[in-house]
Amino acid sequence: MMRDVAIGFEVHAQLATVTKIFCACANESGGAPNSRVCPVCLGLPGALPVLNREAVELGIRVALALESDITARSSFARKNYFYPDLPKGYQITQHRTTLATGGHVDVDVQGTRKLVGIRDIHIEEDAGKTVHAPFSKNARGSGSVGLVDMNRCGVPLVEIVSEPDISSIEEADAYLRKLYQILIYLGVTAGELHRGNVRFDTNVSIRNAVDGSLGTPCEIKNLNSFKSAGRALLFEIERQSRVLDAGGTIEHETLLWDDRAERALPMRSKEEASDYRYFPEPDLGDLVIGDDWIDFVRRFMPEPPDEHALRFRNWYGLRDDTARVLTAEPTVAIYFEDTLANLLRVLGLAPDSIVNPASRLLAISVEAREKMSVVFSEMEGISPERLPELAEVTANWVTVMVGAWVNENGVDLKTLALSCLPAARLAEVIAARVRGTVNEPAAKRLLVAAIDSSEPVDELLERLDLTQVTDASTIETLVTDVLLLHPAEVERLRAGEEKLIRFLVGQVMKHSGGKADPVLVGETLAKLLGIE
Amino acid sequence: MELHELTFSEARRGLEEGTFSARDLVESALGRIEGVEHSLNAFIRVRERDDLLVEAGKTDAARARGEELGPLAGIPVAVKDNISTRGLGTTCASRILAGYDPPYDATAVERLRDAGAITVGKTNLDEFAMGSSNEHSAYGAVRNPWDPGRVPGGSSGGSAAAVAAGEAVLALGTDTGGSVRQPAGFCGIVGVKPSYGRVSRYGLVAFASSFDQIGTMSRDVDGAAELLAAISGADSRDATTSEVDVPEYTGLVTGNLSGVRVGVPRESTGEGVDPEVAEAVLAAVDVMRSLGADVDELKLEHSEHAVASYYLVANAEASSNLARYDGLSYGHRAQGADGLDEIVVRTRSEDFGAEVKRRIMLGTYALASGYYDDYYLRAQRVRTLIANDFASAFERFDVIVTPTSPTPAFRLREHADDPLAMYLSDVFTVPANLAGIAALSMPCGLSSTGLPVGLQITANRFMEPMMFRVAREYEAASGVRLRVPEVKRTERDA
Ligand SMILES: [Zn+2]
Repeated sequence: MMRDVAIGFEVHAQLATVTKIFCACANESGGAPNSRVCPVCLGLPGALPVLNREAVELGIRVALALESDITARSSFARKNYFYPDLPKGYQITQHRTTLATGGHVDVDVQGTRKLVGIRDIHIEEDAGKTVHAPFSKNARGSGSVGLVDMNRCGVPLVEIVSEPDISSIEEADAYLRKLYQILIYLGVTAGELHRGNVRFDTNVSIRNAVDGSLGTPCEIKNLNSFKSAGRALLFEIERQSRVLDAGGTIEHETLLWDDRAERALPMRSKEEASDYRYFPEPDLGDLVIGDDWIDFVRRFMPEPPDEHALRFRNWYGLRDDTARVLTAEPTVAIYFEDTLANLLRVLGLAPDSIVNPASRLLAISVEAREKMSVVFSEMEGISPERLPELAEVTANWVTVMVGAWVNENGVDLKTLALSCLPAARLAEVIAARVRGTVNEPAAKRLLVAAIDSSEPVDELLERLDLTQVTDASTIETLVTDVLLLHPAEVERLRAGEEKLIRFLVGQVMKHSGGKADPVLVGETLAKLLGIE
Repeated sequence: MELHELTFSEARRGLEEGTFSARDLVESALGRIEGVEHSLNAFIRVRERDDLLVEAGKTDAARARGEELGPLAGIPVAVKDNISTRGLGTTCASRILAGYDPPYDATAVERLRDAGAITVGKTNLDEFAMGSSNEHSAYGAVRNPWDPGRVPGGSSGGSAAAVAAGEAVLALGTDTGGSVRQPAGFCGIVGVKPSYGRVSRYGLVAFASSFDQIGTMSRDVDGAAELLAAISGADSRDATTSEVDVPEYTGLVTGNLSGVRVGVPRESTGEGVDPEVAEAVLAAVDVMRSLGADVDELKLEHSEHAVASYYLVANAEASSNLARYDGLSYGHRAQGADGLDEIVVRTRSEDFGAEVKRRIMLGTYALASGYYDDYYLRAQRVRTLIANDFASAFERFDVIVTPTSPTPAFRLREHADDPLAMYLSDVFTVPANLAGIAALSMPCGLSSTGLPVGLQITANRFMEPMMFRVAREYEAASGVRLRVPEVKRTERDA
């Protein structure tokens, strides 16, 4: 039988700081094992942690985006447990007081909006990695040896703990994807799931069908993708249901998800539950976050996705669905906005300052938005209908035309935008189409040519002879020629076979080498044939 | 007078005036080490003679060229072996760190070098600084130079014995719950525990992080003050150091303490305090009064709970700080252990001494879920009350004077079966650690059995200048500066 479930998540994201959270070692991935370590992150006797302010600032971004209450004075604590890749024998984290509490993630589940509550947000250090390598022909026979790589020790993490507000696997998936999108948008994490930049732990409990109370939750750790989270939840809900169906009770357990075997195995049960012996970290003072610091972070903080979509609608008059497609990923959103700004400039509708490079560097921070809105207020000569029209055209180019090229060629958009097709170049291609210099098919050819070569767009237009033929007498000559060449089709069209008009338009276009203005061709055909 | 009998001030003057060289001083220290180490066991490692002589020779050459030298140029200094020294090893007198050589120097050691001091070696201590007798060392007990049948105190017993016996002019110790002051008192020298946050802990192997401070030892007040000045000040590698400026700690003797308010807690001379100790302390107070100080009695409301509070919090922190010693990546590993669990369990079982294990166990319990509120948290609340007591006391007084310890040095193994009795001997020293304030111990006479008696002078946080002023005036007016004792030759146990 289907049961009501309550699901919560602990999402850990590695923060994309320059250095580690408590020392000056580089916070990077890759490299030889144990090559980015120092006395502090190795936990050598006598070494002391010093808090990296950048890690706090990225944590504040997350708190602001989730509308959490930032704690004016929080503290660090030691979580004591033994593991070979935890060199101090404890993890420095936050426990009694955390960076922020409360807040929510706004989730869209198949068109229905749902708020998932956030319990708290805290920052902490990551541990190292243990790998088990087999060995053989040892004096004691063969077996496996544990090798420890401490490069990851002290990489900053933000942990976002949700309330158990999620009531289905679909909601869980939507929650994780939305939170992930927000983290990527905020630029706080590299976000590469396969590298473990973002990791999920979940807790699941089944609601009592009679009184609605929550059952004992079980925790599943080690979820490294959205897919494994979904599978693990399904596994655990079925497992608990079976126990209850058989009249049993759920014991609190911590399970470890095995992605290959697609099953969760118990890590430890309540009897042997770890007592972490939390106590205040004496090596670090309180973390004091004043309003000034929060304001500073807010000022240079990228816009979270929902706000971003809303602004696209408000500023550019984009349709809601277009705005959502554009803001699915910050790369697309930034590229779109940059292209549109350039298009307005190329078309002479906005001053050059609209493409202020400083604002692009800051991407979509408050700083950049304020500068942009000033430019907008100074824009003249653009009608209220014209901007939404150009915005939709630009959106179509970015998502459909460029999107198709990106998919076909297996290049990611960011690379393209940074190399062969910067926003300014794409804007010139779009401008050629908007001005009617080229027709639709020629525009597509121009796009490919603009990506393939570095020639200026106007030179490409000339060299490839793509300029659209819009001269009425030239088109009339072309149409007349085609009508003479296809008397049978003309006859059938006159007899009422209307679809043949498209055949004739196609023939004229072919005759013109693809350059004729198709709208004009249609009109001329209708006129010469005397049809409406 | 022999060179090893000189105080810091005398030695520095001699160097400046060219009466002798840094090389002479180092030779004399090495000679003395050769002569008395067999009885005292103050050092775990002494640096190579040639290295020391080369370093001293460089200082002498620089002085001859008229270069500007650091305030400690050419002065032989001993460093407690729980302070990291690259290339010199750092064992904390524990088997578990046997063979460990830190890849970096503690900030205090860097500053020592910048000041021109010559590190002669690393001194013995109670394992991980846990103890008040220096009997808990994997390298054997340290003996008191005044009576090798007695303890030098602890945990900085090696540093105290070395300075008292003239094996070094100055020494660094560490004071978590009296570990500089108590051995200084037992050995008849000056020992300073600065305010918490005054000296960087970077490189000091942590015992109880919220109490630990590196302190200084010398046979005269100015030596301890000058050494403290050299190592004090903010450090970007220790988030608990203070940004408060480091003022002058040395100064001229004026023969005048008028207007200085001296508080003497009732319990200083009360129950449990050896009558000879009480007498010596009261005599010292009389000297201060004769210099013009205003002396009055005071009551520190919660001091009777200080020892309990201290041991709970310190052991809790220690249980966490010592979790890292697992035999996996540095230090010593139990022989023949195989597999992760066996390596860790056997290494920690075999390589930690009994006192360290006792404290790890006690500290672990104090933090365990279900006990945390009753033990750790309650102890922290007492700590706050004690700090508040001092805060209000320092509204009325500039310094507070007590004995350093209730008795002079006790015999070896006297408290071996009764750790609690040993803990209670810290009653006068731990309050300063709980409150994070400054305190020093200095000699105020000898008992009838010829043992030094320690006088403790406590001042408010970062009020070291006042503490040193009172100490300096008392030192000059009382004439109590103890000679370097003759060290009786004894066979010590391994
Ligand atoms: Zn590091």
